[in-house]
Amino acid sequence: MNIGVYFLPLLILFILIYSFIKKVKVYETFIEGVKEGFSSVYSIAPYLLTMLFAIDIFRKSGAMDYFIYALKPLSKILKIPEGVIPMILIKPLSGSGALGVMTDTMKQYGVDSIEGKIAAVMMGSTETIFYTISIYFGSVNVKDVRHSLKASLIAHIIGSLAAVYICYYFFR
Amino acid sequence: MINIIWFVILSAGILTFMIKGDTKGLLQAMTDSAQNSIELLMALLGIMAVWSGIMKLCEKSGIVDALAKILSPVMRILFPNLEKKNKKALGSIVMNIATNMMGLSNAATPFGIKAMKELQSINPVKERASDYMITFIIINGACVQLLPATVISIRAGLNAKDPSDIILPTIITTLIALIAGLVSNAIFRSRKVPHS
Repeated sequence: MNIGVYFLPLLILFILIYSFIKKVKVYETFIEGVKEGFSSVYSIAPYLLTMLFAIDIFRKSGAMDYFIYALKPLSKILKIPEGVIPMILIKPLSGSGALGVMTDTMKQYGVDSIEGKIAAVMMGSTETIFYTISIYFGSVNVKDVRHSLKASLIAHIIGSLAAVYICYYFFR
Repeated sequence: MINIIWFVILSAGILTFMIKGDTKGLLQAMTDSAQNSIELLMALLGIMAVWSGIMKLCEKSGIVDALAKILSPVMRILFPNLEKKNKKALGSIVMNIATNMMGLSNAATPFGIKAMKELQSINPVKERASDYMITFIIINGACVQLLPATVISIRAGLNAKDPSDIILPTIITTLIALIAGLVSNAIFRSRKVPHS
């Protein structure tokens, strides 16, 4: 843990000192980057709002809970604990949502329960695909994302199953 | 496909609100969502600007080039010929992966968007995702985190016996997801009939 805490400050300090030694005009260069950062956020803003809008309505209406309920038989066949289904569903949609669901799962089943551990592993393993795809492709105005969503979803599903069985192996 | 998913998610949500008779709830959810998005964007605006500044230093000082060189054997396999076509793109991809590996997803986003912009500059059909972009998205979606710092700190906060015992399972899981993504990418790409 301790190494992790110092990693970021050391990284930034290294970049700064190294740039200075290389005679980069650090102040002007930084400003240049900041300008680019502003315009990036400006270009992703509509995509972010649009995507989160649909996801929020889906979650808050309770539609997601019904969806989870409908999936229960499938989870029995695949030996996935019921408690981690919300995590599998939310992870591709929303990062902050997934964090909330993970914490909720841990509180409900116990932090060291198999459900809690699977949720933790899922949290750390795959990314929020829908968000990433809409933001990244949105930032360059690509409309046709081809098979990127399909392939990412397959990776997510296989990753989720792997998380379950690997946790069984490690923790049971 | 995004079109369909967005449509289904949103209409399912609205319908559920209507069936429950909770029209007020719908309005509330709409307002909250919009407001939360703007708050998130404001937070992102600041952190993104700062990280973009730091990234610019990496670019100008040659750190990106050095990193790209270290990772280039792997990158050459995943992104064939990209080094020749656009060195900056490869650099941004490498920085994105490196920051993701450290669990710094806030820092990774600016690099990722920069990478997409560089990839777009060599994309022959601007409206359509290039092979490089898709590979990048897939790697980004299943990126190995060496230190899932947020998860560990939450586990520690909830008094787990050993908060960091999920690191190894997490790494193995991610590798499996990554391989699954890359394999399906290869399959879909070879099956794809090229657009005119």
